[in-house]
Formats: sequence, structure tokens, C-alpha cells
Amino acid sequence: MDNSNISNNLLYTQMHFDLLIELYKSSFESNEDLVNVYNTITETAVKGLNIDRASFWSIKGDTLICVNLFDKKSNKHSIESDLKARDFPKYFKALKEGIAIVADDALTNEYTSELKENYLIPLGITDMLDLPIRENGVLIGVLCCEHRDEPRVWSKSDLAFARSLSDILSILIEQNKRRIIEKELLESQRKLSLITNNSSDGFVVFENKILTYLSPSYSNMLGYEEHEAMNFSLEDVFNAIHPEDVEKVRTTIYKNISDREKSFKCQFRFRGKSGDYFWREDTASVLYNDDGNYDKYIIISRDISAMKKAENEISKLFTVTKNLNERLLDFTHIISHNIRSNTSNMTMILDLIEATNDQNEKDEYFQLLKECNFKLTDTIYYLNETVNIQLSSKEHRSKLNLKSEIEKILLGINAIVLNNKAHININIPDFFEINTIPSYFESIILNLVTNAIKYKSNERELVIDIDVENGNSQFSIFIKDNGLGINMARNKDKIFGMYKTFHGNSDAVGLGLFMTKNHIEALGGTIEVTSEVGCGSEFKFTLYE
Amino acid sequence: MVPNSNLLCMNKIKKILIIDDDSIFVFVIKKIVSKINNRDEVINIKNGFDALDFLTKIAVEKKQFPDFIFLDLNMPMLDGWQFLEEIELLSFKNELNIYIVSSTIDEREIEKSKGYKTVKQFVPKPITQDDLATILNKE
Repeated sequence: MDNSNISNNLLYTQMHFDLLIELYKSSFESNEDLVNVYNTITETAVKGLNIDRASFWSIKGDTLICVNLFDKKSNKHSIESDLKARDFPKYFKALKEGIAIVADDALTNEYTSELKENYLIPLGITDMLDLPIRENGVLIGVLCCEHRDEPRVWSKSDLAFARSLSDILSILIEQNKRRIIEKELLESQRKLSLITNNSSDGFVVFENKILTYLSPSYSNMLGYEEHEAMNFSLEDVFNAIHPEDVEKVRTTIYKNISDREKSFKCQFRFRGKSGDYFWREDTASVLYNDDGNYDKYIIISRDISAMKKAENEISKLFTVTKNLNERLLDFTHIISHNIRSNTSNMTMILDLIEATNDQNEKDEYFQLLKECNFKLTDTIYYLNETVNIQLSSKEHRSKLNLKSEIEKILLGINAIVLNNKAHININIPDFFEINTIPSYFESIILNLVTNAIKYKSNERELVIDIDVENGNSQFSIFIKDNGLGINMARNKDKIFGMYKTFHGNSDAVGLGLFMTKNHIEALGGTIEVTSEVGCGSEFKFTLYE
Repeated sequence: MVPNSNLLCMNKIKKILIIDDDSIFVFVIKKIVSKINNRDEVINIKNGFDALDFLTKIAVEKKQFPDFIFLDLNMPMLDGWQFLEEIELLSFKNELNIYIVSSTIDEREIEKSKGYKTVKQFVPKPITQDDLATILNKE
């Protein structure tokens, strides 16, 4: 058997050469339908080899299926019935091993004699030239060239020509398959865009680290034109992520990819074209190849700003509820401690009264009882006040000029200010207006200023600075003194609690800051304090418009 | 005077330290103590901070610690809990005989007091003469 191949084109006859060139040219035409390919190949084989029949059989498992047969006599394309590989094992084995079967006398040839009874004799075939057709090294079919009646000897040129035909057929089949896949891909992308166009979620697809698809909904979400978004570099993307979130996003992506996670989520803030950040939630689906690198990286991105807003709303409500609960706990504390401490004193005094007959002693105890009663009444009064603050927080707000309002409040305690030689600096612009409940505001300022006076240092003249800081829809008022200061390490948690005092002053009842905090919270504000023993304190409260 | 209440301790003068800012309670306790044993001595300190100072001074001067310490929980400067935290750090903590005397009915606080080895007992207010006598006769 001869092993000549296609590169040995010196073997071609002129006719062979012309036919192959013709075939080559036609292969550029659209070969979407493989039938055309088979027609051309079988016809060319019949013509070039001057034979009676040429056919292409595809091999599926152990069955040979005739796909296309051209018969010179009838000048028609048809098919033969299927053949089973087990009926002619030698022939089939030869094809599988890639051997071109060159049978000058098919009836006696070692590979084709098996076909004698069922195929060769009934069809009158005398000579065969059968070539395996492979795709990626796998046998997928066979090109059969058959001659009838008078025996012939296959020339080297015939063999080379047939080999070329089979090689071209292999390539065309492969090409066709690739075209179909490309078409399917295009189709699937079209399908994807049909889905994504009608979804508010954004879709982004990376293939081999290259951005290959970006849905209009995605660019819409970002506020960019599609071509602008398409040109984003990875760096651009990371730059648009909120600085507080960027590290989290980076870590999430790298960690999940290194763990070969197929799917993961991440929430972060992203800056759209408008310059504003919005919350988005990305769900990434990643396909990895055998090397462990990712082939496909699909991101489904959703604008979750509304959800985040609701979440914030809930957490704000939660804080309010938590505050209310803390206040309730404070109440329980007062009832358990302050009311009880008075009643238990009363019980003990009553015991003493009962146990004595001495009238003088009894009188003394009576005075004590009166004192206890007074304290108890006081406690209940303040309890009631606290409840009232909460109930009347819906009272009407009015517009106040901050500076003149504070001046007016301080005038009310002018005597105390003067007696204590306190210097109060009101560093507030003239036309600063606030919208608040006047009685609450007065109580807050009064409490904080009188506190500063009460706890002044004897080592220096008292200076109180009142400042304001204007925010977006809020403002903060600072009341700073150079008094005794509070030990923050010890008292941080209880500074605004009820009945907490810090200086051991006998007249301190521990209600001022508790009430102040209540007033501020009733106005929807917050209060915080910084202080250092021996230097002074600064109270800062923030109210919202 | 309650008869037979503390025959055993009649001879020894006991020193009681009350750490409490409630002057009425302190006054009442003084009265009751004088009825149990007229010779016993009651000292009052109004906050944990000064009490800590007082005890540290005794330790430094190697004097006698009070026989009993009645500690209130809610006080200015250094409250009862903070006082106990500070005491835990001191070398002489085991020489002290501390009773928490409080009007709290908060179970959590009563439970918490059990966590301090220095605390002998949680005594709820009001405290009766019999209760007090029982405690004072323990030593």
C-alpha cells in the first residue's frame, strides 16, 4: 500500500489538480448546509477517479449510515441501507486504524472480501478505494469510491486525489460544525439580551477576562451610555466603588475565585454617572476551566438602594425602640430603687416608732418620716415629668433665632451667672434660625449651663463657650466649660442615666442630664459628651430639622 | 434594748462601716445598732470612692479594719459595683466583711452580687432589728 499524501501534489494529474482547485474555490461559498458539501465531494470523486459510485458514510457507534451516494449512471444522489460494523470486522478495524483501503480486487482484498456476499456481488462492485474521515482524530465516517464491472488498478495519482478529497471533506465538516456553534452562540446571546432587556437587573459577562456582554439595563442602572460602560477598565470599576466598600468587594471576589466558588454575592455602594452613590447587589456566577482559571464570569447586578433605605429605616426604628426599652429599664430601676429606698426607710422608721415609748424619740422619727415622704413625692413628680415629655413631644415647633433665644434663656439665670462669675461666650451667628419646641429647648440649655456652673472648678474662673455647627439638615450645639470634668472611664455608661451623680455634691439629684437627654430625644436628637477630669466637659447635642 | 440578743459579743466593741449616701437610712441604722449594743460604733462614708480611700489608709497604717461593711449599690462617684471591682484588686480584700445592703429588687443584681467572693451576703432593705442582730452576732 502506498503512503503518498496530499503534499505530494506532483502525483496529481492535471484533471485532478483542476478539480481540487474547483473544490477549493467552492469551499468558500456558504456551506451552511452539509448536503451541498457531500454532493460536491461525491460528484468530484466520481469525476476525478472515473468511477461509477462515490458515497459518504457516517459512523455512529457500530453502524455505518449512508449519508450521500452519487451514481454516475443515474446521475443522481441517493442512499444505501445501513451496514453493521460487526458483519465485517476487518474492514471496520482498518478504518479505525486510519488505513486507507485500496482494493484493486475488492472480492479478494483482505479488508473488503467480507463485504462480498451482502454488498459487493449484489451491487457488482469490483474495485474499492475507501478513506477514513476523522474529526479531531476520531473516526466519524468513510468516503467510499467504488468501481464496477471491469477491474482496475488504482494509480498513485488516484490515491493522492482521493486522500485530498477526504482531507477536504474532514475540514469542511469541521468548519460546518464550528459555524453551527457560532450561530448557536449568537442565538443564545440574542436570547440573553431578550431576557436582560426586559429586566431591571443588569447583566455583565466576562469571557477569558474580557468584557463580552453588557446589558442595556446595566448601563441604564449606572446612567452611562452602553459604549461608555463597555469601555470601563477594571480600575475604573473599582474606582467607582465607595471607598468604604472597595476593600470588602475586592476580598470577596478574590477569596471566592481562589476557592473556586461557583456563585457568590456582594453588596456595595457604586457611583453612577450622576456622581451619586447607589447600593447594588451583585450575584456572580463563575465557570472555571480545568486549569482552575475562570472562563466565564457572569454578573447579575441589582439596584438595592430602596431596600437599603428601608433597612436603614428599620435600624433607625430599632434604635428608637432600643432607647425606649432602655428608658423603660431606667424606670424599673427607679421604681425598684428610689421608690423602694424611701418606702423601706419608712418601714424601718415605723418599726422604730413602734418599739419606743419615748415621746421625744417618736417626734424625731416623725420628722424623718416627713422627710422620706417629701423625697418620695419628689421622685414621683420627676417620674411623671419624664412621662409627660414623651407624651407632649408632638407639641408644635416654632422658628426661633438661636442666638437671641439663648440670650433670653440665660437672662433668666442671670443672678446665678453673676454670683459665680461665669463668663459665657455665645459664638453664634446673628441670623441662625432653628425649628424646635421652645420649652424643651429652654430646658436643655438651662440644664447644661447650670450644670457647668454647678461643677465649676475652684481653681479657675469659669468660662462657658456656646457654639453651633450647621450640617445638611441638622445642627449641633456645643456647650463647653473649663470646670471639674467627669471621669469618663468610670461614668461613660451612666452619665445620662437617672439618679446618677458624679461629684458627690449633696444637692445633686441625678436628674438633670437624664431629663436633658429625654428632651433631646423627644425632639429626635442625640447628645454626647467628652470630658476630662480637671480640664472641663463639652456637651454636644444634635437636632434635626 | 433587745434582751438576750448578743450575749456572746457583749464584751467586744464592733466597728460598722456603712457606705451609703442615704442619710435617713444611715440615721436609722445607727439607731437600731445602738439598740442592739450601745457600745458598737457606726461610721458612714457617702460614696465608694472615699470608702476605698478610707480602707486603703487603714491597710497602710496597719490599723484594724471595720468588723462589718454595709455597702449600698446606687451611689455617686463610685457606685457599689465599681467599689467591689476596685476592692477585688487589693491585697487585703479577704480581710473585709462586706454585706451588700440595697433596696433593689432586681434579680440580676442579686445574682450578680453572688459573683463577688468578697461579698458575704446580699441583704435587702428594709432591714429589721432582728436581721441586723443576726448579722452582727456572726463574728
